[in-house]
Amino acid sequence: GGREKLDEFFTQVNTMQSAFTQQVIDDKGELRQSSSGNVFLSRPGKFRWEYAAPDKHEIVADGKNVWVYDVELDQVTVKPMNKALSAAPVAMLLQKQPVDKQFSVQAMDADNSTLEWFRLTPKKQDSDFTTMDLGVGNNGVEEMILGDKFGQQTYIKFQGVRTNINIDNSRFSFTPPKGVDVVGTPS
Amino acid sequence: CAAQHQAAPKTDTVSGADAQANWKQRQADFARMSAWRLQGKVGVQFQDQSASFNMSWLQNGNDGYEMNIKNPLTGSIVAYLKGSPGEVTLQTNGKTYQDASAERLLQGQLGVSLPLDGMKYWVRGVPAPDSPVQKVKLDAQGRPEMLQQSGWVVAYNGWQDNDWKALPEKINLSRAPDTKVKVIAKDWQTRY
Repeated sequence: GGREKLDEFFTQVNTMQSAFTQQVIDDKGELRQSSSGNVFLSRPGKFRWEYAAPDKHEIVADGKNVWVYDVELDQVTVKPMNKALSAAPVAMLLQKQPVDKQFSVQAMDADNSTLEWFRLTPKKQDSDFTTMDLGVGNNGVEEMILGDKFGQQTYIKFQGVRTNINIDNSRFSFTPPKGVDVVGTPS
Repeated sequence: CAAQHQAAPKTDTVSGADAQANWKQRQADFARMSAWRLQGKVGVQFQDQSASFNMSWLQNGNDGYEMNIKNPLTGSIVAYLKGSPGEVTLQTNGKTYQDASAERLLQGQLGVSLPLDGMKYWVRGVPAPDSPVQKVKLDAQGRPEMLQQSGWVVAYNGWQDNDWKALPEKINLSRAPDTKVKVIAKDWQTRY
């Protein structure tokens, strides 16, 4: 069932690639922004989270640092991994360890969804996200809802999830393009 | 973003003399602007810190303004600033702060240094009227390529369209030794 798939996601998945859509709903239930892009994950510790719309942003964790490239502003910000855990929603999924080791897990009753939902509360509170609800279907984790301390909800839907495929390592490295401002010092 | 800026200026480029005349006319015209609204993106760099946000700035002549500062990745409102002569209110993180200076509020609460008093003019491509202009370099049409005022160097790297009254699209402000502000104007509305 869902719980086995959830465990499998946290212990068997080495790489993941998917398109995503994101909607951010504020504490009054108002849609703040819709965006979309692609995510690449390589456990442990590496991801690329690219927003294609409304603005192009590239967020790359290369295992040591997290690079945030705002294409429109020609501005790159780099921070050590431990200082950028809220850089992208996928940052909560970086470890390949049993889910219970990282989160306390609660099954949720979500009868209006075709997925099985679980609420994960991080054991170590080191990111702005306080809760992460995962919707599990036949492809594993297909939807995600992140809650933060301001009552804001970030809804992520993954489309075309592929796991344990070969992803070129260049996806997980970042070199600032020529002429772009780089702020911060990589560790 | 807004209409792409044509690389080459129109054929009837004005001669030097007209550039000066246009520059004077621009300042006179813009001084009579009763209200304007800028929507765009701002990037701030200070030493090794940086921030970027979407900004909506509504300015009502000289008396009041409202500014929404949003996280570009989530669209959530990071701060709301409301200013009237002598008093500015900042709402952020569920709290409200007041001061006479918006710059002090933004620096104190958000760690962001924005020269708003000067930007009120610079973002439109005119100098602030109340302090001397150390240097200005005009393009062929009398629009500023660069102007220097109150310690800031303001460089204009793109315009909404190709005539001498155009509003800026890309502005880079810098203040020695280590502060840089980039403004990308995506939408301008003005009223006279």
